[in-house]
Formats: sequence, C-alpha cells, structure tokens
Amino acid sequence: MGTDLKGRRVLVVDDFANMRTTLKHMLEAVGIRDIEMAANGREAVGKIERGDFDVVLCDYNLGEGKDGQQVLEEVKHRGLIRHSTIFVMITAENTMNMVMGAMEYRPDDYLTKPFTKDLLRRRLERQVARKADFQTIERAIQNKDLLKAIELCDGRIAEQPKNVNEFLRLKGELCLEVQDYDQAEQVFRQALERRNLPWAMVGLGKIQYQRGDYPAARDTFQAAIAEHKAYMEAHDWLARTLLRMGEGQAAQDVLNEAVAMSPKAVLRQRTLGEVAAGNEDHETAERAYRRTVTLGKESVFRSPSDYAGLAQAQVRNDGSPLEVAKTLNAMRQDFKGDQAATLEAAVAESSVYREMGREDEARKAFEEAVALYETVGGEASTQVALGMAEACLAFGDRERGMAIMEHVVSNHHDDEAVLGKAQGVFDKVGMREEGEKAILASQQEVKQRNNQGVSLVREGRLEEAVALFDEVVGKLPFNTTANLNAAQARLMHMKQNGAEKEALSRARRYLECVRRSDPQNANLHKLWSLYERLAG
Amino acid sequence: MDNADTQLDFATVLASSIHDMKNSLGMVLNALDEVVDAETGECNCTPERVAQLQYEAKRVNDNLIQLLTLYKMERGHYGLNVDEVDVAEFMEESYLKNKPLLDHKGIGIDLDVDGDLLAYFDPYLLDGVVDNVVTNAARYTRDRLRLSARDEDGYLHICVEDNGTGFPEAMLGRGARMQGEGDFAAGRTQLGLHFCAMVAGAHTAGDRAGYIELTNGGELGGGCFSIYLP
Repeated sequence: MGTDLKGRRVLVVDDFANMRTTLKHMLEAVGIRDIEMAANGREAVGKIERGDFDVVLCDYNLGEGKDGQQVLEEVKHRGLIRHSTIFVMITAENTMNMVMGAMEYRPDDYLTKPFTKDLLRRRLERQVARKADFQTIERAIQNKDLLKAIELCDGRIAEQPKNVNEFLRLKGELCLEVQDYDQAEQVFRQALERRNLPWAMVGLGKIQYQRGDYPAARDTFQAAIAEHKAYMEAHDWLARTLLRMGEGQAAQDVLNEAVAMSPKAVLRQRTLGEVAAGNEDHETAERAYRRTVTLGKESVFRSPSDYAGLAQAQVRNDGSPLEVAKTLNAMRQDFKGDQAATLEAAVAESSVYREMGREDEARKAFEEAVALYETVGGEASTQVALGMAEACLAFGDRERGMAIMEHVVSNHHDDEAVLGKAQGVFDKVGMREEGEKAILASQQEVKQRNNQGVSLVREGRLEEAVALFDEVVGKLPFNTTANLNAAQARLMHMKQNGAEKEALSRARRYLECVRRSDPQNANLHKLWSLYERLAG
Repeated sequence: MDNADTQLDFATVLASSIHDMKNSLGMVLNALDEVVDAETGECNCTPERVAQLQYEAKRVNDNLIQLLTLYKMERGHYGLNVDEVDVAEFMEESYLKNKPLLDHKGIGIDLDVDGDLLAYFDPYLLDGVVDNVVTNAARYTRDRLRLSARDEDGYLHICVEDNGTGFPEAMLGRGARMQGEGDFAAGRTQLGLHFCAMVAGAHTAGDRAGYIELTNGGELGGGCFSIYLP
C-alpha cells in the first residue's frame, strides 16, 4: 500500500448524521472506499474492538456519553488499536486545551472544523508517512525490546532528518524508561541547544527527580511552566516533586492551577483529590472527587476508589449520612457485575461506615467483602488487599488479616511505598509493634530464599536455581525480585543449554509480571533483550 | 504584551465582532435568497455568488475564532501550545484551506517557503492569523497573492502580499494601529489586526517577542502583511 490512501479502512465517528456523510464524501473524494461509521463513543469502541482500522476520524464532541478523548483513551488503554492506526481528533473552537491536557494518550493529529478535503488528504498522507517512518521503532517497543528501540533511534538521528527532534524526544523517553540517566541527559541537553523545548526541560527535571535531587527538579519544572504554561506534564511532575519534598499544600496549588486549565483529565482530578485529602483539605477533596466520579462515568480509568474518596471526604466534611449513603449506593450501581470492583466497593464501604461509627453496616459490608475475597481476592490490587486486611484486623478476624498482610509484604518485600502503607494499616488498628515485627519477619524469609537462589546461580547450579525460583514465584507471584531472578536463572540456563519453548514462555511470563509492577526496573530491560535474542 | 496605545476592552471587541458577523450573515442570507429564483425556481448559482458566500462565511468563522482566543487571552486562560512546526507544510496547509475561496474569486496564489525551515509557535493560533490575513487580502487584492516565510535575524518572517492598492497610510508600521474608536466600518479590520498583534506578541523567546508590521510595495506592489515570531 505504501503511502497511498486508497484501500485503507477508515472509521468515522461523529454524532451528527450530516457531518458523518460529509466526511464520508470527503474520504471517497480522496479515493477511500472502505468506510464505517459510528454515531457515538460506545458504538465507536465496539466497532474498533471488532474491526481493524487503519484510520479513525473522531469528533471530540460526541453528544451524550463518551467524548472523543475518552474513546481514544479506552481503545489505547485496552490495547484495541494498533500502533500503526492513525487516530485523528476533529475539534471545533478551541477544545485544544481540553484534549492536550490529557495525561496519558494523545491522538496522532488534530483537525479543526471547518476543513477542506484537500487538507484532510494532506494530513492523512502525512500521518501515513510518519507511521511508516517510526514503524520499526514502534515494533521494537511493542516487543518490549527498548534497548533495540534506542539503537534504532540513534540510527535515524545520525541521518539528521528534518524531524530529528521527534527521534530525540523518543530516545530521551526510552532512556528514562531503561533508567539510563546519563544518556537521557545528553539527549535532552542536545535538544535544548537549539531551543527551550518543553519536553526537553521536563526531561531534565525527570532525571533530577529520579536521582533524588528534588529541589533541582522543582526548579526545573517551575522554569518549564514559566515558559510553557500549557505544558501539562510539567505541572504534574512539579506536583509530584513537591509531594516528595513534603510540601503537600504547594503540590495542591499546582494541581489546582492545572485542573483549571484542563478540567476534563480524570487522572489529574483524582490526584488532586488524593493530595487534598492528604492535606486534610476535605472541601477541596470532596470537590475534586466529585468531578472525578462524574468524569469517570465514561472513562476507562474509572475506579471504585473515586467514590470511596468522595464518601470519605463527605464524612470528614460533616456531610449528611444520607449524602454519604447516596455516594456509596452510586458506587455499587456503577460497578455492578464487576466482582473485583464490588470487592473494592465493599471494603471501601466498610471503612467509611466504621469512620461514621455505624458498626452494623460496617460489619455487613465487611462480611460481603470476605465472601468476595474468597473468589477474587487473589487478583486484588495491593490497595484493596491492604484495605481488606485493615477491615479484618478491625473486626477481630486476626488470622485472615495477618495472612493477607503477610502475603502483601512478601510480595513487595523491597517496595518501600507498599511497606510503608502496610505499617500504616497496623498503626491504624493499634498493632504498631506487632506489625513491625511481622513485616520484618516476612521480609527476612523472602530475602533468605532469594539469596539461596542467587548463591545457586553463582555456583553455576542453574537447574537447581531454576527450580527454587519457580517455587518462590509460585508462592509469591507478584514479587518483583523473585520474578526477575526466576527469569534470569531460566535465561542463563537456556544460554548454556539452548532455548526451549516451555522455558522461554515461563521466562516471558516472569518478565511480564515485573513489567506490570515495576516498569522502570533497570534489570528488566537487559533481561528483555536477552530474552529477545534467545527467542530469535 | 503591553500595547500602550490599545485600550481595547472585551465589550468593545465583542460588540464590533457581533456587528461584523451580523453583516456577513445578512449578506449570506441575501445572496442565498437570490440563488433560487422565487418565481421560476431556477438556480442562479454563479461562481461570483459562491465566492461571495464563501468569503462572508469565512469572515464569520474568523470572527468566532478571534473572539474566543482573545477572551481566553484576556483572562490569562490561554496557554500557548508551542510546537515544532515544519513551516513549508504549515504554509501549504494555509494555502489549501484558502484555495477554494481564492479559486472562486479568480485570485492566483504563489507560495515561497524554504523546505527546510523549522520554527516554534502555536500552529493553531497562527493558522487563525494567516487565515484572517488571507481572507482580508483576498478582498483588497487585484488578482494575485503571495505567501512567503523565511528566517530573518532569528525571527520567522511570514508575509502575505497582494497586488491591490495597498494599506492606507495610517495603518502602516509596526503593531496594530488603531484608527479611532466607535467606527464600526474600521472596526472590522481593527479586531482582526488586534487579534494578529496579540497572537504575535504572545510568542516570546527570552526577551524577544513577536510583532506584526504593515508595509506597502513588496514583490507584488500592493500591501504586505508581515508577522515576525522569535
């Protein structure tokens, strides 16, 4: 097909029938025949899920239900769309700030109404060429072989194409992901030589943050905001940095300013809610969580914890019990049928009722949670598990509570953030000392097992090491260190004795697990490269 | 963005804009009335009529964009979305957008942009500016327009030239020269000029800021509307 537009499959999404027809005619005039239509967000997601499109033309405003940005976020987040698929957002007036304030996913291009068919054709041709340009790099990224992707970027950068900055930017991001901060710094400084590009400034800030130099990071992000007020990433990172420095109120102020500029980004509203709650500013927290809940209705990022946050804020704002009950009910309704979410909802409900002093309702919710935990507890997030453990300990179900805590700690024995939260739970239920001992004991046990395995590897006793680590991962499926060690042992064994299908697939699973929980892990990327080489 | 000689408050801007839009829409409605003969049902759609309709519709669109942008800028809610822009592609798109109107009016257009030129500005805003300038130039030119862009002393210099009679003396020079308040006819161009000047001025790099400049002469012998961006 090359860079030709004919033969491409296009989905047109717009809530106005005559606009859909107009777009269809424009596409036909450009030589495209394979055109499907959707009249709203839900239909669009459905069609994308079932079909395979080369191009999606989606209006930002889609009437009731999801808007264009929410469609984009859902299809990207759920992996329903190829990297090579072109997503063009059609906006009217300046909805730019609405769309550009989004944190995670951006469309490939924007078209503002009114536009001509020639402009449409020109943009599509440009995007097709662009996707072709990045194809090999995207594929490497999709295969998680980030080191290879960086190599490919270097190749393109050396050719000094017109769009060299795009490759520099991508390389910078990749270097950050593999934690090669020296190289990342080089890249960003190189870009800054020509111009104070916002992404390069923020890139340097991120490096300072990761190296623990928070005051420097703060200054860098502030400078970036001063020059590029609308660059949302700078605001988000500044807030994160201020939180690290213990300046909760300052972080909240930054987030407030950011949501004023970009009110529809659900993740940012949620962060604002969390930060405000942390600052005991329950009024702001309530407002932010309310917005989060509203935005969340159509968003793929929605979560019961938003309702929980709202309910909690309402309680602390001395809200009427009726209002709180309404919130909790809405939470139940919104996630009906989703067992994992209902578990989370039940745990949250129990916590809120306990805080309100309504013991009976709290216990009822707790019992429901216990029942659900039997079925879906294993997949529960750390946050939910900790909430469950807290409820168990609060209601005197010591055995179950301690078991859950032990499981959480073992699975995250070297994750300070999680351990901190776990200790927090023990403190809350008045078990501080006991909690400290239990956490330490779990940590020791896991460390011991891991060290055993590492010794085996060092001694060259690879088969035994493989067996040991397989066992550890079997018991602690989410433990990053165990998964890494297990993968490494397998890969080293295969390096010596040749690659084998079952072993490869296991190694891959272990690496996937690490990628999900700790995508920044430095060793992860080296191991991925090794895996890719062995997998051939 | 201190423009000491402009006291354009938003109410004035809004009033002038609405007046302008009502004029445009009035002409559109009139023209449409005449397109289909009430008695015979015959269609009198000539290229000139279509051109006029397009022109007035574009004016309304330009006005709306300007209004919203100026409103946000006034409130400090407008954060420039500066991007690295391939200037040749950008100017070509401007050309594509305006081509239908220019074709119908029988106006030829030349493009002169260095293919390697990269610049840093808010493409959405500048698109509105160039659109605005071209729409205006289309009215006053004889039969030709020239769009060009080049690097001049570290500034991106975008230029729209026509072969009409040029700008009146009072408008020449840097910045948006106001011709007196309360004059709605002049108000038409006033808003547009103000918009262009504000957008240019909002683009800063270090201690340099963008600006507009009106001159006469140039390659086509008519008016030259220049936008300088740092």
